[in-house]
Amino acid sequence: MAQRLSDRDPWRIGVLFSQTGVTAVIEETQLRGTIMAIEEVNAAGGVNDRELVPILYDPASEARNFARYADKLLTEDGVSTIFGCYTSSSRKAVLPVVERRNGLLWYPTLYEGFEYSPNIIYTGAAPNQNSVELVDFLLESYGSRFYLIGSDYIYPRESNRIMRELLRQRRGQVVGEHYLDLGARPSEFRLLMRDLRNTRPDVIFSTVVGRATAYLYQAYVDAGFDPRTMPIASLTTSEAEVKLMGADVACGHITAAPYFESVKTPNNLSFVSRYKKRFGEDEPTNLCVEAAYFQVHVFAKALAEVNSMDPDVLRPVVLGSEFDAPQGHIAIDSDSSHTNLWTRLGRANASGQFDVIKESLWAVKPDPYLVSH
Amino acid sequence: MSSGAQIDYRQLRVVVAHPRDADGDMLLRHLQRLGCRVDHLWPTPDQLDAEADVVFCLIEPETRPFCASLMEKVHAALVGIVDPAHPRSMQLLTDVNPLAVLTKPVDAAALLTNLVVARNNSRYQRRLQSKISKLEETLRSVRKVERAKTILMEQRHIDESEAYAYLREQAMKKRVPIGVIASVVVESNDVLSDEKD
Repeated sequence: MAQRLSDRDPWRIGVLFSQTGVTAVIEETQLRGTIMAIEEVNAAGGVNDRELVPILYDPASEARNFARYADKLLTEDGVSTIFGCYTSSSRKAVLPVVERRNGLLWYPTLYEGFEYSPNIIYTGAAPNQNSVELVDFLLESYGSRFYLIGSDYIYPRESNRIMRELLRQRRGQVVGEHYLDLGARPSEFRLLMRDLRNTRPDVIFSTVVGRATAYLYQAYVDAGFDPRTMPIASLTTSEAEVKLMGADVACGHITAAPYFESVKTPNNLSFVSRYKKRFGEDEPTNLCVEAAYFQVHVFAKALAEVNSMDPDVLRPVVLGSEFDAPQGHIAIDSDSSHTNLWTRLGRANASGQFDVIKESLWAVKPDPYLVSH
Repeated sequence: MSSGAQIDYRQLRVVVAHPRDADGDMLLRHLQRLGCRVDHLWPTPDQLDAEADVVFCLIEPETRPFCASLMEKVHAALVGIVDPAHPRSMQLLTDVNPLAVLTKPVDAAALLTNLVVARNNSRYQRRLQSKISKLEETLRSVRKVERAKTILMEQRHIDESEAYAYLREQAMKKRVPIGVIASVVVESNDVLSDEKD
């Protein structure tokens, strides 16, 4: 498509992360990662001498707002690329909008898999890139009786379905399953501890997200349980949630993620230091920031090559492209539109960081439909 | 620039399949004025050989084979033109099922609106079709891998997750998709089990 704009005009890009509401604790970090990457691209001269200009909206943690703003961005605001979404409900709300309007959503968050869209680039972990390794480790280190606790929406329910299947294959068992509203209050988690005391699972698998994460881990501490014998294992509890709940509350529990702030690649040491310089010394990085950050750079690289934001032109060069992200070398997988990502397991320590206790030898190919798992 | 909202008419290849009457001439003139690359085609052949983005075609019994072939052809968006006075026009319209429709006499405003709508719908359909194809391919893969997994479990007396791990390993070592390894396992099992008889 021919450019009618002058060749000095900026590239307008949409950004949709919540700055308010129940999942703002993590989404605002994704917003920061996005902004930092945009600033870096512009500081280096922009893309083909044109700067990236973000058009930002705050969907306030409500999925229908994500859909509304995505539509506005792709029509009134004249953008075609959107960086955004954390919860699967927000992504599912945006999906039909980007498909119908032929936009391109870059989604920097782990999720439950079993999805494909020609209008989404998935840069967060699919289940084979976190759950499989986590389950094997937990069965080996703690035991086979799992209690599933999650927030009540599509991601936890689907992830638990997958967890049940993985456990069945490995002769593990689900001894309890409970869902709480995203806006659940501390008292509801305290009630849950009673059932845990009676059931005594070996592992608590948590898909509680957002602000409520802190309530779960705090209730656990108040109940006097010991993470050395009954850890909470999560795919979502990151340095951001740990900061919210306090390092002492998080200490000893397990998270599976492609990235932790403590990862020792040269790229990451530099990334973390730049992030803290930009946003504050006590602002930690996390898996969602890192994906939000590297995906902007992957986009900018592809854009420089084709000089067009038309998804029909841009997407083919994005697929198969590679980048040295803070987590390590990654590549966008052409088959699935997802990303080859590193698999790591971390245990929260007393300083609010994660000690990496296991990591893959290279980036793992995504298998969102668990065809080979 | 939103890729859906604005069309670059200069990049559009348009075919006008309509006799050179007042409407036909008007279509050609107007599309040329928009800057499109326009070709006239009349009478219609059984199928369109050239590449086109949009085809304006008079819908009548003689053009049915041509229209039918266009609806199968993924790239060309068909805008049908019907004469409401024709006794079978509604039936023909239903049979052909174009992406947009103009009624004779054609007016310029309707031409533009239907061009935009037809083209956007055509592109959307194409994206949906590509998504469907991808999902169908995934389904086939799932079935193949399931069969291979079962065979391996029986033959090697291993459990489910070991069988998957074996398939993944082989796929990685040989640098081929897992579906290929699965096919080999299934086919060699079929061949060998035939030999037992």
